[in-house]
Amino acid sequence: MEITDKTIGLLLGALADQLQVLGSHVEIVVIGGSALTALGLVRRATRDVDLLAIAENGELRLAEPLPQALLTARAAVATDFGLTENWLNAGPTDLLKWGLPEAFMSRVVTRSYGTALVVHFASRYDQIHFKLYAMVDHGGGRHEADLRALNPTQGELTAAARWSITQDPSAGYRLVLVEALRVLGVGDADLGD
Amino acid sequence: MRISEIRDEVSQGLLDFAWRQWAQIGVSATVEGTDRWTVDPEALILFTIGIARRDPRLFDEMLDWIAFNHELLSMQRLRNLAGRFPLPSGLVAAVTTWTRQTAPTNLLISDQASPVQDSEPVFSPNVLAFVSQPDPVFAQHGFNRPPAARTGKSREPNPALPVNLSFRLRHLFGPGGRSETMRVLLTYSDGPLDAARIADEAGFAKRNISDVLTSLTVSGVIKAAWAGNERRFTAYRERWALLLGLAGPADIPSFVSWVHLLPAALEIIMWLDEKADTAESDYLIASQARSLIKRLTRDLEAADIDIQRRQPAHGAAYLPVFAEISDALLAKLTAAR
Repeated sequence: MEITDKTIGLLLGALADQLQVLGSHVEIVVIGGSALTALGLVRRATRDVDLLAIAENGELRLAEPLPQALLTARAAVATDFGLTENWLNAGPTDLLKWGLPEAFMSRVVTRSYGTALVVHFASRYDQIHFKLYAMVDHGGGRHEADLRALNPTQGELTAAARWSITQDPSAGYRLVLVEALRVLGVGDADLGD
Repeated sequence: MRISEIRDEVSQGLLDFAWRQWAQIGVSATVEGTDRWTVDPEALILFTIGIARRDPRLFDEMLDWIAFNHELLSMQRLRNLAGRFPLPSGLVAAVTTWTRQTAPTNLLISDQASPVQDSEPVFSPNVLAFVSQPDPVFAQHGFNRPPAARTGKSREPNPALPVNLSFRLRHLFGPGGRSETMRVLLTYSDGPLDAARIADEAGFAKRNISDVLTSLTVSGVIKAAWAGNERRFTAYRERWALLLGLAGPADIPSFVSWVHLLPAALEIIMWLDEKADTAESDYLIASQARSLIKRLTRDLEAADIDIQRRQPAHGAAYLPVFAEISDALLAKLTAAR
């Protein structure tokens, strides 16, 4: 089964059911294609759900390693829906180490699935940040397509660019970033020092 | 189809099956027609200990039959097979202890025990809600039921019926590895079997069955042939048909892998009982049904119920697949009539 706007709710609901059976309550922060799809910002199928963080007691922590209950529930849902074993993964959790865009949690879109699962989807504004960083870091392709679909303003792209430099302050990154911004129509972004 | 409907259908189907088997081997009950397979006595007993917890009359007729025919049974084999069935070991022990009592028929022993606290009811509360005085033997094993008494209606299995080939072989060889090996080899008509498979179906250790196979081969009543690095065995079915007074090998009862089919059937009905009144979502029930069938796949496939060919179904859509598998299981239990 592919993860689409039609199935993402079904899969997260199933995950919540499995967590409930395990007597567990989990709060996760999701970014990437599945979050864009869930919020209706982009319409495309994706293979996985990217976890940025686990929320606990109002704090965000790295999603790696995933809590045991989440691993067990994930495996059951993978079997039930013919998904790959790591359909829910902590791939982008390292973003947390160098800091998220300011006031990130004040913009998330939160949805509860039963009583066992709360999902905070990154907002459009923050997804522009993550997608710009991904586009520069990994090349164009689906990241560029997603970013263009979000239709960012010059101001949003400039803010995203400044944040992305905190993730990778190297000269090489900045060089590629400037080129990427030009491709996106921002030729004179003020990236600060 | 709702899970409670599947439960009702499977429950009734399994009870009908059990009554039909017991009626053909000597329990007082009326059934139409006869089956074309032969029973596996110990597997049937273990299955009935589980399924008859919803039918006290069947449970007590089984006790009576075991008490009357215990010389035709192998307690060793019963113990060997018990671990394959989802049954509390105490309940199996209570049944074997009770049926080995030397008490005369209809002796009531109710006044020898007082009500037991914290014991597990033998029967479902839906069929027997109150127990004023417990049976002392069952109570000793942690189970609560009214005093059991011999009904005195059981008979010996009629050796003329195909379903009773197992007992004919036990009269010939005695209950044990030899009679079970011959039951498997005679009824299995799809080619030679290796020692491991025969031991698995016979319910004895492979080492014991290997010894039996060697001596039966030397005696000339079965044949062995090498296939690669293992020996495979077949019975001389034509000669055996003649010996048993049958018209030919086609009249030998058919093989059923009871030691795989019946534990799986019991697992399924016990799971259905647990889920029939659950408030869990359809998805969650389907997910658990999928896990159950995955766990039982080897048993079901050994019993010729094909799981893999069924269409993959995601999420809650697995429930109709589960219903299909349940139907296939019930069909298997009526197929050879």
